[in-house]
Amino acid sequence: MRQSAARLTGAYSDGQSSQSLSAVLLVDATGARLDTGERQIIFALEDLAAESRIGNTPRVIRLNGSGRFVTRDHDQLDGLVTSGVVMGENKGWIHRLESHWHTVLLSIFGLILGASAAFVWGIPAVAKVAAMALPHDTTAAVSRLSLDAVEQILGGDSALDAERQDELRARFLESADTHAPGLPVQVEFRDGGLLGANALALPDGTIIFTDELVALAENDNELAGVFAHELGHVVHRHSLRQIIQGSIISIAAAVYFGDATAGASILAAAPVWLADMAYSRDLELEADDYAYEVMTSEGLAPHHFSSMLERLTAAHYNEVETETEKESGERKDYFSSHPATSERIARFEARERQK
Amino acid sequence: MNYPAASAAGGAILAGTEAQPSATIPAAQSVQRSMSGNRHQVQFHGNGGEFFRIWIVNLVLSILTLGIYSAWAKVRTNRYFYGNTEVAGSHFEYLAEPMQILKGRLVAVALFALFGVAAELMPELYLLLLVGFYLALPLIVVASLRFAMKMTAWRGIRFSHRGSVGSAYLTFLLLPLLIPFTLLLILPYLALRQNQFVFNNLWFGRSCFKLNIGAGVFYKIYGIATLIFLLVGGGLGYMVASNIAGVGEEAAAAWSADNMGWILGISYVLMSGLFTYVSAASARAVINGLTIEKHGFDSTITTPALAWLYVSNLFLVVLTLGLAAPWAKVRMARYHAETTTLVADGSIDDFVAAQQSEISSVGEGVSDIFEVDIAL
Repeated sequence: MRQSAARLTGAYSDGQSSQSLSAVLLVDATGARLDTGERQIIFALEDLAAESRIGNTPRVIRLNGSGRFVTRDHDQLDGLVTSGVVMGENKGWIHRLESHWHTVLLSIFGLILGASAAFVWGIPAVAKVAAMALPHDTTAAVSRLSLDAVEQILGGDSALDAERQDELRARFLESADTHAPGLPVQVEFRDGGLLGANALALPDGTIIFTDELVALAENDNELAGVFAHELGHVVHRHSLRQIIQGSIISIAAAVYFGDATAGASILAAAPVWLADMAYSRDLELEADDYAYEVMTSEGLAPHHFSSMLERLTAAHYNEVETETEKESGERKDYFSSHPATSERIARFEARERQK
Repeated sequence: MNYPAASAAGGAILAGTEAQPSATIPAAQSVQRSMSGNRHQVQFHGNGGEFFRIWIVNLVLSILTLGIYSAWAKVRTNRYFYGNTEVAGSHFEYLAEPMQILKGRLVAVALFALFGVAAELMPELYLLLLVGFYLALPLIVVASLRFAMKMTAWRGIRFSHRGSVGSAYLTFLLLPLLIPFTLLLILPYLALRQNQFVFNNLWFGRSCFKLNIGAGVFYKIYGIATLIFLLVGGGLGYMVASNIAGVGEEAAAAWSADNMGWILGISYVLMSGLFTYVSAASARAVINGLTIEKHGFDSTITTPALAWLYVSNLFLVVLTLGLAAPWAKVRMARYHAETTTLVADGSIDDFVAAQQSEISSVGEGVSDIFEVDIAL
């Protein structure tokens, strides 16, 4: 490849007019001579600057102030650049990467591996570090999900009497104080409305129980388990992490699919949504783990949480079961924001056995 | 409004403006012009396999450098496509430096982050930013056209875009405000004005392009599209109405649930088809109406061919989870190149490079601020 003399064939244009003349550029260690047949021009080697190589596209050698020479004699030109006779952008290594199929196959493999690793570990880890580094107020500020917004899907004031509300609130706040001191946790009760039996943790630390959920519980220990799970969402800043993870995924999808073809942006929406759901399931499991820790330290049997989960699932299935769900027996996990109840309960029981 | 149409046609000229009548050009169309000069059909020499390797290396290095390399990737990609596009035996050159692209991207990322945070955090600020972005759109159009043209050269002579900011505001902001008051009737005229802005301000060296078409061409294209829309859309609407009217709420809901799938499907195909028709017909009219000095252009873009390209590319990309994207991109570039012919009247060796001062003096200063690529 190293070479100090060459005869390049190509075309010359002077940079002033659009005339293109077939020409020969003779280069050796002492200088260069351009020969168009009619005219001969001598250049010093310092006047020559060659473009880096991209595929088999023609390459321009700029002739300082006196136009340009275009050639397809890639191997000879590469030789001149490698041996330092002709100045060139030294991007040869990129071209070498691009020209071998084995580096390409390696790239595909690395891409899949890298993307998977980023998806499973990288992005959640970055989001976690970023979310934890921010002051707690940002969690609430950054999220649109405020009590006002949630009120619209809830059914309004709770029908529980004030005494019962205060009793539960006192118990939950004491638990929050023990396990997450300093967090601005508030407990609210509402009619479930569209949500039915459910509990929600808002980014600002407000945890809402619906009347339906309170009614569904057989005892207060079960409600304490649910509270611990929701507290896990607040403690681990799940809203903020979800926002950060979602943003990274949508930018990555836009970059990858944006390159592809007209109309591909529609394609990007589906994987982004699936990724959001997958991350959401991971966060639910993390909140479950937190709930388990809290419950054991408070001396509550973990089955209080699992039986509550089972009853909740049963309650919702009767309401919103669709045709396909009836057929398949269980919701497809991939499309769900929560993991399958059976999986969550299995995790709880597995931890219980490990003790 | 119609930026995509305008820039698509602009892209076609750039990416593709070469020789010998090919078999793809229907004989009848080319006769009139080929008598008067040399036909240089635009050629595209890239191939999917080669570009795939460039693309995958770009992608991996971009990921490894957390996106920084994407600016170098963009330059390599553009150089590949420009360098493989030839007119009369000479290729196009893409002259932008990666650092210019990188600066533009950093600005874009910062803006994106600002918008994202504002959207979540302060809805009022977000609205304000959206309005600001809308007001800045003509400026962005001008800046990106200037950058893109300035960075394009053929036989060592640069293109340039000299559209003024004032006329961009008129064309891309003020006139579109009339759309609601004219019951959309201004749309074809707007399409003409926007294409005129793009092409009548486009220079190659010291020669200016001229777009020699009137609003009538666009009224015809939009008229045909509207007619098809009314016929098919109306038929569909009539069918839906006759099935759900007077059968009671439950039966209507049941019928809708059963038939909504294919009705939405047909609507989607109809709208995509019309969009393809308008793009193909407009690009063809614009390219055919374009002249520079005594030379003209000839386009043979057709709606069925473009539609086939869109649909087949979409399937190609979806079925391979994006890995076939390089082939899709190469197919698109080849089609745009090979459907375009430069019809030269006399020699094409007489274009003269503009002096640097000529180009920057018309910029009203904006081009200096935006000496970065802000189009992503």
